[in-house]
Amino acid sequence: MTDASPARVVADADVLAADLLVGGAARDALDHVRAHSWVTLVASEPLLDDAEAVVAELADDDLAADWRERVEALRDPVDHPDGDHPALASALHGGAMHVLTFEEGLQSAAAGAAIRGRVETSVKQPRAFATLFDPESLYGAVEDGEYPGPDRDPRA
Amino acid sequence: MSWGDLFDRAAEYDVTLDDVQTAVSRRRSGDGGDGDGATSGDAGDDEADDGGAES
Repeated sequence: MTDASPARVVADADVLAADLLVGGAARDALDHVRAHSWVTLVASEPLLDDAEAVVAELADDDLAADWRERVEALRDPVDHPDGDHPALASALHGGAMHVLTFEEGLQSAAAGAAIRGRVETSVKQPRAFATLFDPESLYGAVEDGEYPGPDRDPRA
Repeated sequence: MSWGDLFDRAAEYDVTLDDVQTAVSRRRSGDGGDGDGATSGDAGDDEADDGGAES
C-alpha cells in the first residue's frame, strides 16, 4: 500500500469521462493534475475500464482507445480486490488523499467510513477541488524548495 | 495524441454530465457492482476527515 499523500488524487469514472466529453469542473480539476508533474493521478484498471466504456458508449471506440492510451501515461496504476468500488479502492490502496466524484452518494458519511482509518481521504466535487487547490501551499508540503509554477502543459 | 487533440475530438459529441453519470451508473449496476462505496476489509470509523491540499 502506498503512503498517503495530499498530492495523490483519484478521479472517479464520471469525472474522468466528463473531463474528456463535457469539460467544465471536471476538466478544471484535472488540469491541475496535468499541469503539475508532482501531482499524481491514481487509478486502477477497473476504474479506467469504467471510464473508457462510458466514453465508448457516449462517443466512439476510437476516441475511447486514444483516451485510454493517454491517461495510462498520466496515471499511477494501483491494484485492489475485485468488487471494491474502483475509486475508493484506488484511493485506499494508492495513498490518494483526494477522491473527485460527481456522485453524491460517494461523498456520504457511509462511503467515507469505508476508507477512513486507513487513508485520510477527502471525497469532494471536482468544482470544490478545482477552486480550493492551492499548488503553492501543497508544493511546500510534498516537495523541497519554492513552488516553481506549473511545469507541464495541461493540453500536451 | 495530446490532451488538446482529444478534447477537440470529444467536442464533436453533444454529451452532458447527466449522460455521463447515467452511463457510469448503468455500467456499474450492470457489472454487479454494489455502488455503495464499500471496500473489502474496511472496518471504518465515525470520525470525519476533510484534510487535503487546500489547507
